[in-house]
Amino acid sequence: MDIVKADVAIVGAGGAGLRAAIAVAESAPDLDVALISKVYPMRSHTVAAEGGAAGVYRDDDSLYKHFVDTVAGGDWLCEQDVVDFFVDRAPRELYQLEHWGCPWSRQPDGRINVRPFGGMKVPRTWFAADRTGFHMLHTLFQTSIKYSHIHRLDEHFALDLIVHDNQVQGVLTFDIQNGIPRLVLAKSVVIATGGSSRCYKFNTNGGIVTGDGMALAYRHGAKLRDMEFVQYHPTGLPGCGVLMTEACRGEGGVLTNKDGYRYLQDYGLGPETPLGHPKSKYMELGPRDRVSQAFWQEKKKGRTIKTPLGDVVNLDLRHLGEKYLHERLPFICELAKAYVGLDPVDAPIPVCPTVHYTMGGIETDGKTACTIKGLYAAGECASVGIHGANRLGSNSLVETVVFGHVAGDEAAKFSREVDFADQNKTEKEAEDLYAASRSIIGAKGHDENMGRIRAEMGQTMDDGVGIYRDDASIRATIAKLAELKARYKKVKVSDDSNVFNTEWLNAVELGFLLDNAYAMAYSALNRTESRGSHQRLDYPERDDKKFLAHSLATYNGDDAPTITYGSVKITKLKPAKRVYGAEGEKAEAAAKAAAEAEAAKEGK
Amino acid sequence: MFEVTKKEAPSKRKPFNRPVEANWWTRKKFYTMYMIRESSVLFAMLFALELLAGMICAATGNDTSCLIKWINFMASWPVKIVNVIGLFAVLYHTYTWFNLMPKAQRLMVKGEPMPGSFVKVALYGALFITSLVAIALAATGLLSI
Amino acid sequence: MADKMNMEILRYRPEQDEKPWVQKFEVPFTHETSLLEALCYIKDNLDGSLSFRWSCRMAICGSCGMMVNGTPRLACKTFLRDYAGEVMRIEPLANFPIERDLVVDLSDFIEKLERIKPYIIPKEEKKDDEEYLQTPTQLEKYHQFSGCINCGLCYAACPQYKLNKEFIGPAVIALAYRYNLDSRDAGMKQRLELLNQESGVWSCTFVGYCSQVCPKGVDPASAIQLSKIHSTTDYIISKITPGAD
Repeated sequence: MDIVKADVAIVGAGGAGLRAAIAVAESAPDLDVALISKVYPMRSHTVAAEGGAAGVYRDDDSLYKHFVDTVAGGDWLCEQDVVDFFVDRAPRELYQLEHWGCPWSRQPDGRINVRPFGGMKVPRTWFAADRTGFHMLHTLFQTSIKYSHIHRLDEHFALDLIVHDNQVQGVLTFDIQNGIPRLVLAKSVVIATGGSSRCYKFNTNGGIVTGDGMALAYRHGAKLRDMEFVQYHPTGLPGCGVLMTEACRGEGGVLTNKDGYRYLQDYGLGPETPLGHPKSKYMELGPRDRVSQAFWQEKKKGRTIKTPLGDVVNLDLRHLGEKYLHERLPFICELAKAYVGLDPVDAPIPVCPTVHYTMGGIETDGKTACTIKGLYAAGECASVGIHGANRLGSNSLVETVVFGHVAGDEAAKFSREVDFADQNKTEKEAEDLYAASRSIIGAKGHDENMGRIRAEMGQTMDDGVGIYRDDASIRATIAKLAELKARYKKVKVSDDSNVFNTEWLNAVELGFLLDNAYAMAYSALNRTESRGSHQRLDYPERDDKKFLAHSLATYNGDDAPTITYGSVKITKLKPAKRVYGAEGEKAEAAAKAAAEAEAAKEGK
Repeated sequence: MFEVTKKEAPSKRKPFNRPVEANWWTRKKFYTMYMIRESSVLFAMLFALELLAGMICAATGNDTSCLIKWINFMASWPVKIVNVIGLFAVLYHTYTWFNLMPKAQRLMVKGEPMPGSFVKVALYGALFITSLVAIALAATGLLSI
Repeated sequence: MADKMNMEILRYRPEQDEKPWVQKFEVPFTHETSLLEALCYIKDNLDGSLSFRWSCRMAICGSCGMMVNGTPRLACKTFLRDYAGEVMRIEPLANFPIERDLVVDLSDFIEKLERIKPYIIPKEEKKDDEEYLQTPTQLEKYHQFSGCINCGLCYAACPQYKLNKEFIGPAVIALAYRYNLDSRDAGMKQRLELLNQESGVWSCTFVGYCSQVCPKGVDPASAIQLSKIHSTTDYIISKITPGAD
């Protein structure tokens, strides 16, 4: 088998992966990085992110305010020391991107412009028109070209990790273009492979976001944390699930039901704010989980609009005017015209909640280290502890660069402390793994249609582990997933070629998705409370006594994963009721008064 | 370090290069119109050579036989037809060129790129004025004969 | 009630085929069905061996470029309803070697992209907590050219690239121009070394088809002509200023 040796291997070349590679190249210029990606880096799904990246910028903002918004937004399931670190590092990573050429939108005087975003008290979302992820990714990719020590292995599929005695030794990849396996021996490995929203039928993700790294780490003993927390983005286009950025609402867009009524005020996000004057943490600028849940409730009441592509509500941007829309949301106008044949200038856009982000992922510590030695995880594939039960919009793009940087630095440091594994032993193991992976091709008795398994998985996840779940619905999904996993063992792959054999690779990806889905469903079953984006109809209240804890899923092969719980680090912000809108305003005033009283008492 | 420590598996690639057909430009209207636009250069060259011949003849001083031959040549029907076609070809080239010219500038007006229509108006304006001048000169030239 | 579209797709499997061949499919479609969805339908239900690149489904990742009835298009933004009553002929992106089915070898494009130094070569250093000031007008000057999704449609459209593979091509020149015009950058001189060559801007004869097929309105033809002005100015200056630089 072809073998390549590098000090650090990075799997995934999206925002986090590229940032990690650059971090190694800058902090350890004597080391070499093998940057492995199953697609060319600019195809990574970071490219589709639209709204922005959060980092404290304004004078009336503070790190503590960003901290509070994030922890409250996560319904207190966040590792507060990690959130502290994150909000502190965020601005400097965004300035770094600016120095590297990222075309951030500007104020008239040339300084960075920030826009309001859901769940954030003070505007702090840096943005590049409405294509922030695109610009960040291309800036990172183009900047990475400067470093000769970053060796890209483009269109190399990561088939498996090589792990000995709980320490990672490398990655077995498949060179898709040449049609041959290639073993990458490395002293440390960073996983930056993105989320697993493709487990669901309606999602905003691209076809490549199949939770590869998550499943691989999981199968090798890393725990998947908080997998039940899946974010429904409130405004995806019906049918295709194409994303309509939260910035639509940040710029003043409103959501109306079939009666033209701004229904969010009925769900703790009111009172209604004037048209075109959005107010942070009110109405359409509430956190994503609340806004999606409001949709579900409206649907139950029969107040959503029925269309051939399903129930929708209207995202109305007309009042913003043509000039403003073309300047601030040009991509949205283009998407609406192409995919629903409507111009936001003249017509409201039909939208519905669509699966968008997986808060859960590979359990890591605050410095991206996994429980497997030498393995690091950053970006959406990781659960580093900042999002908790619900992620705030624009915290994810900046997460990729903050923790991508950390992962690169840490992986570089670790690689100096260890040696490469024995090549012959690892090669033999890689050959066996490769043969096993290929063995599904043309196997006897394999007659299950891959597309059907995939579609049924997506449907059952949407049905049973959706915006609102209950014991019965989750159990039904678990039973269905068990059936699908059994059928998957007999999945039909007829294409026996090597070069660009996407049928085989799609089957491998489906296996990853099924494992991740199983972890999601079991984690959801065991959390008998409602928190953030995990809402149980049978347990509608938050239960801090039992469940102020992270779910941890341990892989058990074909059997159900074992679900255990891990503690949450609370430092500065004690758990409180999570409120927005007018109620939130009152709570904040009370908290401020209490803090002032405390300060007065201490004679400050 | 980055090292290819073992290279044994031969690539299974066999990329296929599609041959370029000689009539590639007939396959798409856009390409065909482009070739027509470019072929106008032949007519422009031809006319330039005709004018050059005329200039050379006019420079022979008192002996006007060359100039008269040239004038008869230019007045003959085949040459007139070729030159009229050439005029349309050059006009078409001008039209396509003026359409493309806005792309060759990026002046900013009030924070936005200047609209292409300004450039086109300016170019057609300049064409109109220079044409008038040229025709006026030719006409006075003819009158003075 | 779905209509059916007749599709002819150019196939090529390097390990089995000597040359490409056409396979016919009949695909049901509704008003919303994109070409990408039709290809996924074929892969899931009719022939699992059909290979093609795709990801985002919203014309931002640049993966799914291919020829649709002779025109370079993105599959995710091509809708079957616009071809109702015709036969849809799908071929891999023109002017690139075919790797497999609808997948082409883009390595030449990627290599050229890397050669043009597509990164900020800064004028001055800035502190960690300070941005370069860049007014909206300064941003507007280059912003359009920063929207390239690297889909390669412009290369498929360009007859000069078809005839001469040395030409660095529309997208690469547009990217170079984007950096040359960024107020934070001082690297134009270095990029001009590549742009000034025959295989740089001077292979372009302003056919203009690249800009027509560009799905993001980048207008690479404009970037190339504007770069010709840079190149010419640079040449003149180098001729009239005494001494080497």
